[in-house]
Amino acid sequence: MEEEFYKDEFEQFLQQQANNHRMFPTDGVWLGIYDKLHGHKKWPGLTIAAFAILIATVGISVYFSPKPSIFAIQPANKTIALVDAPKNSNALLNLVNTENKNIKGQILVEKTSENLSNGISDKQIIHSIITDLLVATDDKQNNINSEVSFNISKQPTNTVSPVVNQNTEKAQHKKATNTAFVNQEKIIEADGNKEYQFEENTLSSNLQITQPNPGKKSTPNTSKNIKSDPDDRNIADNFLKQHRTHLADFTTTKINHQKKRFSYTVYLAPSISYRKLKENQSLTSKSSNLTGPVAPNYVTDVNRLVRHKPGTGIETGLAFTYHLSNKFGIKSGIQFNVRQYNIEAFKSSTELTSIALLSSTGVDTIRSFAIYRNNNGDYSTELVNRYYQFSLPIGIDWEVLGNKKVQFHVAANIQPTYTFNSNSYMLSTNFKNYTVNSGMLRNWTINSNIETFVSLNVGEYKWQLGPQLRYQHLPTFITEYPIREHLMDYGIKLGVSKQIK
Amino acid sequence: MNTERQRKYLFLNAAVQTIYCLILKGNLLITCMTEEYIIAGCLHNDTAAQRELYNRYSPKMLAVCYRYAQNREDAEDMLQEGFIKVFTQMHTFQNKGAFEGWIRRIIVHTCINFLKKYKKFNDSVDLANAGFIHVKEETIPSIMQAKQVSECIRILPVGYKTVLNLYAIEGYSHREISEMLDIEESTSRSQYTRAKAMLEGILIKKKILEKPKPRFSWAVGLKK
Repeated sequence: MEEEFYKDEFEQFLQQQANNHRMFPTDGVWLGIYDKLHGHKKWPGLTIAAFAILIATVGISVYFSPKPSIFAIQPANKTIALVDAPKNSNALLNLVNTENKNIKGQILVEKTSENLSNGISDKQIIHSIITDLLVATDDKQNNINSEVSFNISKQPTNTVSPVVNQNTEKAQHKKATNTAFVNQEKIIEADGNKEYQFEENTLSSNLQITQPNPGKKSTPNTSKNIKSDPDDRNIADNFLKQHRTHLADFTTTKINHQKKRFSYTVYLAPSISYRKLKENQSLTSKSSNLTGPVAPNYVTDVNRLVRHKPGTGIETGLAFTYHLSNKFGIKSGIQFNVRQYNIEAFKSSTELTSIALLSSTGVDTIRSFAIYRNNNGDYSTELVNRYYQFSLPIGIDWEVLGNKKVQFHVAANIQPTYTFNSNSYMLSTNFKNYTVNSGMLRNWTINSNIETFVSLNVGEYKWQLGPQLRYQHLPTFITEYPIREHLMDYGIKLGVSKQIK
Repeated sequence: MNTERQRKYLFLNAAVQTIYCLILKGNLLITCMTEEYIIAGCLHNDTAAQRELYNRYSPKMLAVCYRYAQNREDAEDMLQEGFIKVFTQMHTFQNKGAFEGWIRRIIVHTCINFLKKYKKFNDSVDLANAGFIHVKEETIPSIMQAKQVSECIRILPVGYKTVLNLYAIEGYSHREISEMLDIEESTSRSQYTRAKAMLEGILIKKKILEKPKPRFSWAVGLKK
C-alpha cells in the first residue's frame, strides 16, 4: 500500500502539499501593483504642508527683510549703528543730512564737546550722549519748531554751547540739547549777527567757542542759508577715534534677559502614526531550548507577516521655555497625543489562541479568545489600534539661524508618557490571530521627539511651523511579550508662543 | 458588445449581492464581495476590488512563485508582475473555467518568462551527480510539511524544479512544457524523471517520506 502511494500518488502528494502552502507577500508588492495600475500614491497633506512652509518662509523673508542679508543681526538703533561704523565721524555727521536725524547728530557733537571740556570720564560721556539721543527721539515731535545754531567765536578757551531759539512757548521749557535742530549746512553766528563760514578741515588748537551774547537773538535758519561746519566734524571725529571701544558697548542690542527668559507655547500637530515591530531577540534566543509554541515561529521578519497601514493622529500641548541665551532654551510642559494605525485582518468564528510570555525562567502561555485572524477568515476587516497618551516633554530648543523676524529652530525632547487606553489588538504567538488583553499593555513608556520649525515674530506672538518626528522607545506591550511594538508619528506642528512678562 | 453586456450583467449581479450584504449582515464590508463583484470591480479599475482580489489569492500565488524562484525577493517580483497582468488582462477572462485557475496560469507563465530571462532550461544535472548536491539542513525550517516540501523542491536545480513544478503540480503535459520552455519534449521527460528521483531522495532524507520497500520483498523472504 505504501509502495503504491509512493509510486503512483507521488504527484498527487506533491500537488496536495503545494496547494496547502501559503505565503504572505510584503506590503511593497501591493504598493508596486498599485503604482503600476493607478500611478504613484500621493500624500497631499505633506505636499501642501511643505509647500505652505516654503511659501511662508520665502514670503516672510522677502517682506520683512529687504536687505541683502536677511540673517544679519540688526542693531537696535540705526543711528547708533552708524556711529560704530569704521568711518564713524563721517557717518555721524552725515546724520544731519536728513531732517529726521539732525537732532541726534547735533546732540552728539554738543555733548562730546561739553564733556570733554569738563573732564568727565569717557564712559560717562558716552552714556550721557546715548541717553540724550534716545530722549531726543521721543521729543522730536514736540520740538519740531525749535532750532539751534552754534554761536562760535574764536576765544582762548575751547567751549561749545548751543543757543536755542525757541519759537514756541512750549519749547522754551525743554532742554536745549533735546530740542536741537541742525542741518549739515548751518549758519554760524559769532559776535552777534555777523555771519561767516569756517574753512574746511581746520580745527586750530586755540579755537574758542563761547556762549553767545544773550542779548542778541539768533535768526531762524532756513535751508538756503545753512552752511557746513567743519569744526563739528573734526570734534566728533577725534572723539570717536578715541572712544571707539566704549561706544561699541552702547551700539549693540542688549535684551533685558530677566524679563524675557520665560515664554509659553501652545501647539497642535496633525500627524501620521505608524508602528515598527521587532522581535525580542534576547528573549527568543534564551527560549530556543525551551519547549513552547514560540521558537518555531520566528523564522522570518514579523513585519512581513502582518498587514498594517498608518492612521491619522494628533498632538496638542502647552510648553514653557526658559531661555538660557538668545539662541538656546530648555523646554518642558504637558502634551496629549492620539495615535492610531490600522491592521488588515479577517473576521472568523471565535477561536482559542495563545500568547507566549517569555522570560529568563521559562515560557508562560496565556490563553485567550480571538475572533480576528491575521491571514484568512470569513471576510476581511480593519482593526484600529488607538492610543491616548499624556506626556511630560523635557527638551531643548536651539535657534540655528535667523533675524528679529524669522528664525529657524531645531528642537528635541524626551517624553515620559502615560497611556490611558487598555484595549489594543495584539498578535498571538503563532501569528494567526489578533486578540485583546488589557493586562498586556504597558502604561508608562518613553517617547522622544525631534523637530525643526520656522518661527515668525508677529507683534507679541511668535508663530511656528515645521515637521516633527516622534518615536516610542519602550514597547507598547509588556517586556515578556516577544513582539516589541514601537510607535512612531511624523507630522507638521503649528504653534504660537508668547513671552511671559 | 458581448463583453459590454457581460460587464453590465456582472455589475448588476454584484450590486444585488451588495444589497444582500447590507440587508442581511447589516454592514457593507468589502469582503461581502463575491467573485463576480470583484471581477466587475476590477474591470472598472476599482481599487477596493483589486485589493480584495489580491488579498484573496496572493498568499497562494506567492507560494507558487516561490517554488519557481531562487529566493523570496524574486518570488515577490514574479507575483507583482503576475498580478499586474491579471488586472490588466481581466477583460480576457471568459468566465468559463475557475477564476483561480485562470489567475494561476497567468502567474505560472509569468514565472516561466521571468526565469527565461536568466536561465537555460536545457542545463541539467545528471542523476549520477545529484548526490553531490548538498542539502542544507538549516534551509528547511520545520514549520509545516507543505512548506518543507516546497523548500525541498526549491533545492532542485532550476531546470529540474521547473519541469517538476509544471508537470507534477500544475498538470501540464510534456508537450506543453517543451513549448513553454523551448526545449525538446524528451528533455522535459528526462528532466522530470531525474527531478523526481532527486526529490524523493531529499524527502526521504528529510524523513518526510519513508523509503519504499523492495518491490519483490516476498521473493526475498522466500529466499530466506
